Amino acid sequence: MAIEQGRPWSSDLSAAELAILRESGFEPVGLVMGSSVYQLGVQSQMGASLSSSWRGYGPGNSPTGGAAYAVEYPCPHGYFAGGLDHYSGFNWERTDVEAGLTEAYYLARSRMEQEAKDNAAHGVVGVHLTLRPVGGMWHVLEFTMIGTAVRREGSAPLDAPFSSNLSVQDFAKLLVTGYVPADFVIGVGVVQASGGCGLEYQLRSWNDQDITQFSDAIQESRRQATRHLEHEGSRRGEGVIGVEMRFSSFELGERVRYIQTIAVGTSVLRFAEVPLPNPPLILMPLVDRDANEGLQ
Amino acid sequence: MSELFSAPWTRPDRAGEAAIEHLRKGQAHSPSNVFSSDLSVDEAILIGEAGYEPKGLVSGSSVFHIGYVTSWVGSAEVPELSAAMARAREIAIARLVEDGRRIGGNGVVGVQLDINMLGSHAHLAEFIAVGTAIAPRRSTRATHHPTPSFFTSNLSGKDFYLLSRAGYHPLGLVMGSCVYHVAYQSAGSWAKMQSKNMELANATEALYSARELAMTRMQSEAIVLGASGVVGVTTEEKSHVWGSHMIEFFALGTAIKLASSEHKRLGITASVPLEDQIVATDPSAITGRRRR
Repeated sequence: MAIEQGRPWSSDLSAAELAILRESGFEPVGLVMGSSVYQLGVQSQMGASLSSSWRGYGPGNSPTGGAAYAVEYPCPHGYFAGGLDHYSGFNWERTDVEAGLTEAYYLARSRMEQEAKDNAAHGVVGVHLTLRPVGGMWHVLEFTMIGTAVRREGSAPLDAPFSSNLSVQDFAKLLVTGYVPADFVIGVGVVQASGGCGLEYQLRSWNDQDITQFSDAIQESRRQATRHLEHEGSRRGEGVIGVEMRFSSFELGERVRYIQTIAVGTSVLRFAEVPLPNPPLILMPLVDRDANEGLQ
Repeated sequence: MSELFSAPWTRPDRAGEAAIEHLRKGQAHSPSNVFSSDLSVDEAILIGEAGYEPKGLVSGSSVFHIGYVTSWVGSAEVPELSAAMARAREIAIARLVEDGRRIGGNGVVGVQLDINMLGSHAHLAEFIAVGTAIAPRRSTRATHHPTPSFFTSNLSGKDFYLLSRAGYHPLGLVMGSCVYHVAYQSAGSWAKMQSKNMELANATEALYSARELAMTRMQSEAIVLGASGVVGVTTEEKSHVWGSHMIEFFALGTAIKLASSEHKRLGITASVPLEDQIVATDPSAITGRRRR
């Protein structure tokens, strides 16, 4: 949607944010939005046969180019020779789901950025991301991003506007310390754990103990999410800050778990080395007693 | 150029120009040099001011089997469960530390400890520790007190800065856990007591014992580390998966040590912020009632 010149702009900025934005030499252009409803093509693979078919679509390649994570947990008792009660367990990265979630995210983001570009904005601040399942189906997801597009008078437009989930206060603090937000990025790590007989025995045990295969799967899901986030951040930044992680885990079948970590944050780029001019002043605010701080 | 770059504090509007020009160049970085962090912008600035930089977001997990108890009699600690809860958190933190060392960190700040129950396995709990690994900056203006060994801490970036300015450094997370079983009453005594106002002495005593044991355990961890004290202690009382007659009392804090000879004065300035608590669009503002 192109915003007509001379018409009043709309924004979800607070009055304080508007003041700080103008003080930093930027002006609001308008609210911009990007959305994508996306279906993950994984439903057919959710059956019980999954536990033994991991080699079918295999470890494959990670979206970052490197080999994806895949580990076998052989039968610890040494009987694994086709016996009925002894079988290997597998942990493997669901690169198909990772790629799908990442694509859906970037579809929404690119649509939001296109709106910003159409209106000659330099970037989008205060982006809110909504991610929710549609129609109660976990594999159909809506990604929506809304933020305020901003422009700096006198600077030529950017081919790729910046985007950030940071507030205008944070945007201004970054600028004065020599950093600029680059991109609102995502990192997804999905690991499927299919338990072998070793895990089965651990679960039946009367000892309280660490269930190694599940611990590994969860650890790896977070590690991959962070790694992918850093990879996405490296396109135009040197670090990602304000990272928020969303974690979900559910059972796909007996002994089969699906573990998903989604991390989002803003990549930043340093344009100048600017130390604080003085050590920050340490203040003790004298405020009224909060009326709500009573007995609860 | 250099004049422009040194200007941001005095002319924040000029910083935008340099920032946009830098974005236009669109420089890609090697992914292995890119950090991630759950610090806020304010925290990142203060960590930098303390002479550190973020290295990466790190985590540690342990999926632990908790809940089977061989026996319980009356009101008493369930040592098997206390040990299991402590062990699971230790494993998660050890994996967090391993992750932090791997990426060249010197310590982890803002560690959050959580427990998630995993689905239909009622006794399968995931213990997780997440935080941001930091390390002394390569070109640092003022390194207050380099920490001697790898530390973990539940302190925020602001707390870390304040402590460092006052001359302290964190030694590590310390914690104590105690799972306690409160005895059931016999049906007869329950019926007899229903009409009376009375303290449930055994429940009160159980709480006291659990608290005492957990705090003592946390304290002895601090003594082992050679700490001057423990700050940021949080305590939690939860029944997790066991039902109302079992509670875990859990205490968590950061052990700190005074690095210099004495506490450095911060020079605190009192201030009166001109912030109203009343929001115009809030209906309670019209009735004159103050909003939180």
